[in-house]
Amino acid sequence: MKHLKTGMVLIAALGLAACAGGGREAARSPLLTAGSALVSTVKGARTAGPPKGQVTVTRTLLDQTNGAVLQVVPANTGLQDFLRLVGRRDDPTPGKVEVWQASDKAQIILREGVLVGTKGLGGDMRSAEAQTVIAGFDGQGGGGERLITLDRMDGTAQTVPFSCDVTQLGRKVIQIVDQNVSTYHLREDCAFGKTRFSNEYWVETSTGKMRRSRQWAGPRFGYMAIDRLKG
Amino acid sequence: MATEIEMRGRGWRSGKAALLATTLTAGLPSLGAAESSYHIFEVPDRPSLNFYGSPGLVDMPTAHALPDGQLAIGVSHFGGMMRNTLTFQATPRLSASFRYIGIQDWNDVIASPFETYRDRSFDLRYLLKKEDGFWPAITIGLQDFAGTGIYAGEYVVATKTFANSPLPGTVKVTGGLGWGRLGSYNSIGSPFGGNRGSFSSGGTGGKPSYDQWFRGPAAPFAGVEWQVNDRWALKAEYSSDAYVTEDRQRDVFTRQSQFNFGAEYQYSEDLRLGAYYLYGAEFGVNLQYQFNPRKPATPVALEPAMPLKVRPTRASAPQAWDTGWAASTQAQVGLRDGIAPVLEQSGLKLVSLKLDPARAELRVRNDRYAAHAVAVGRAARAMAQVLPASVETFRIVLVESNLPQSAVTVRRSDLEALEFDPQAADALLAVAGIGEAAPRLPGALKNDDLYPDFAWSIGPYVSPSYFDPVEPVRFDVGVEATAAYRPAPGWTLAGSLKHRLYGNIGDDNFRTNSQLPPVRTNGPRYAAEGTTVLETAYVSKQWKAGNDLYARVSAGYLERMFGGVSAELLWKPVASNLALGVEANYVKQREFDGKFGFQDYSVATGHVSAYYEMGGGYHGQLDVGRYLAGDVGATVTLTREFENGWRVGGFFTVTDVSAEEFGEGSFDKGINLTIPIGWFLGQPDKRSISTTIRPIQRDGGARLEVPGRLYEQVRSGHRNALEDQWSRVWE
Repeated sequence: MKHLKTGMVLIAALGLAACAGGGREAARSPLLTAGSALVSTVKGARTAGPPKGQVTVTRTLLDQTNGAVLQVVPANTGLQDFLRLVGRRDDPTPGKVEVWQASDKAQIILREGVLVGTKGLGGDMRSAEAQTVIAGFDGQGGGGERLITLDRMDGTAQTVPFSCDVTQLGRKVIQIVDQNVSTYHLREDCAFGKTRFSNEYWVETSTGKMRRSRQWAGPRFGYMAIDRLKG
Repeated sequence: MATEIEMRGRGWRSGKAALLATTLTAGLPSLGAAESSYHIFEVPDRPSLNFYGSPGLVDMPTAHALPDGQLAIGVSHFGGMMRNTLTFQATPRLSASFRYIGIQDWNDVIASPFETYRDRSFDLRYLLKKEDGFWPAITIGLQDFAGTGIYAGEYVVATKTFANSPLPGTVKVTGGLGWGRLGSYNSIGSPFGGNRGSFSSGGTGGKPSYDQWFRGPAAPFAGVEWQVNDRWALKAEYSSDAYVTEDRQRDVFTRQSQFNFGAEYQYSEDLRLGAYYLYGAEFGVNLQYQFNPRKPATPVALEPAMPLKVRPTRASAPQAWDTGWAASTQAQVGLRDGIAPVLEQSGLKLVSLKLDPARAELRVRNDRYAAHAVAVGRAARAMAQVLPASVETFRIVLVESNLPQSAVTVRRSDLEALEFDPQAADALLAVAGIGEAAPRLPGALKNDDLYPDFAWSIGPYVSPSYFDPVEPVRFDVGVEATAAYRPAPGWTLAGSLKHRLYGNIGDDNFRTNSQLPPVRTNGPRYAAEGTTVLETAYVSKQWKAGNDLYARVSAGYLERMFGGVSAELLWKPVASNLALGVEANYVKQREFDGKFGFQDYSVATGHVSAYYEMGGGYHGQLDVGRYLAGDVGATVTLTREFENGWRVGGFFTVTDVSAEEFGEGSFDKGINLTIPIGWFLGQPDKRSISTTIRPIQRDGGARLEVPGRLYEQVRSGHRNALEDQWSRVWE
């Protein structure tokens, strides 16, 4: 009986632990925060829901949407998401930069369509060169050393000098929603030691705008398929 | 231009420290290599563990080192012998282990007060030669090297990997020579001569027994590990350990062979399980758990900030560049009130803001991010979002509990230019200055909402107590309420009240046998006599006394066992690896019941401290002074700190108290562990959990616990700490 009582008081104590006030984030009990984090990690692994259904994008749907739309499908989850353009500008590095925001607030950063950064994914691509890819957008050339800085998830990052070859695969007509787009098809093969990745790009011949790509976002996240649907 | 700013930031003071750094690090050639050995894509080979919880076969060691920084926990059991070991690969070549063992049926033949013999031991291993195409890896090891421990033994061992043999998988062949316990079967003579003392469970022990290392008979051992595939491995070995004490003297188990066999299964990336047949007589099991502090339990992903707001060019929008606002107090107050909520979104608190037409200094408190570089980046974004276009120079000062830590100076046009630079973080660091922050900022607009501030919490607590001869782990659990009231900058009135619900620390009927004033050995009595206790209740004031000087004064019930007054002064230049501190306390011993009363014992205690960052995450600390029992001496602490805030360290204290007066253990020593909460949580969190494990707590070399010591508070925002996690500045 005494044990039961002790147990009840303990449970009450754990319940009380949520109580903290005064605005300072540092005031909560560290023991409890860590404990509940571990519990939710274990729980989370068990209750990961089934993937959401794919939305088939139609012209009507697209016309109803304001602003530019980017469709991103990460290879690791297969979950489709539509990103919103939240920033677009020039800086001293050649090529226009765009910042796209996902529904979960994560961001991807594209320079002329080439992935040069991710934010909020965990194990992010901190920054990257794009020039060796952009140079191949005219249907010829491209390739060379490409620096990519990757988050090591221990608070530090590592700048990796990948050596990249760009292969021109010729003109391809691709379909984006209801549109047939004439593109140059490029493949980029990069290697650093035993680490390799291959990106593919489809660049619209008339505008030089990248309409579709499959790009590597670092060792943790892997590949993502990117379609520029609108804007 | 870039260099000029940087030069200004570092200032002239760093010259002396840099010189000292060169001198000190020259003596530590192997330490600096730690960082370069870590690579994002490499999955380092992880040797499996033996029954002693260090890289090995079954009972014998192997030569490979664990990956740098690795922590390994080994729990093994056979023949009534249980060994629990924590091993830390402190540098790429040096590892240290702490072990706690229990041997059953200890009093069967020879009378002993304990049926189960329990003991603590420390090991050291050093990788002399890494394996290459031709040569094997070679390691030298000291097992249970302090005192005449039951596991005392030394070895030199070589291991060679054969990956391309006709067999599938990998074969590792090991051979070595052991001394002490590891030279007790079929010895080949005593190559280094000498007699070694035999194991005796009396005596105070705990001292490095260097006069015995590699003395006495030596014997060879050998073995093979065959990693068949990713999951399964088979092991076979010939042991050089005769188990003299356990087999012949105490009859704990009967040894019939020197051959041991086992099979191991890699259950997950971290966990490996093994089953064995040992010494022709016993079945055994071994649980091996390995992880690296660098790899977070839950990866941190911050909610990203919006892209930096870029100013229009002066030609396109001349009115935006107007500086008329600077003359108007109202406009300045408007800017202050505008920036505060933007900072708040990122978990930052505005402390004060000083505005000039072309420059601004923002003082900000970071309550959220363990990585102060993130706070700097978020503060810079907030300034760019709110401040008028003419403000070109941003100075961001991190303030930690009224202590301005450092000033990061960055040009707004650099921020605009480098946000998406191919090497955004490095490029920004090259043009940013990290310099000293003045104690006060005259003419600044303060945030009047910060004080008074009241914070409280109620939560569970667990306080463990280890290595009692009867009960290896004791603990108390209960409810703790804490409160802190901050009436004005730097002032804190804080306290904590604990109510114990369950616990057995107080059940320990051990009564202190100390020859010294019982300043710590009365712990069980404190636990027994107080159910609802005032853990702490104190008032403190801390402030920045000069550009590199920090000060603190505290008074009250500072810890459970002592109350009194404490004063501290710390010198720590922003860019220096060296810090010096002095602390003086006068304290009285508190009553056991945890109420307001005091006992008769009082003492003046204090230390002069030197803190040094050796680079590569290695930290040293030397404290010289008078301890709680009135003994005089010094504490040496060595810590490996990871960029994410994990800390693993060891310390020892030598005072004028003799080993006999000190009692068991001969002198005070132990290990410290600090784990950042964010490592578990996957969310930004500034707090961490710390614990100190001592093989035994005695009264010599005991230091007062004072809440709010300055060094860690100050250092967290200084140059080295900022640079460690600078890659996150744009996060």
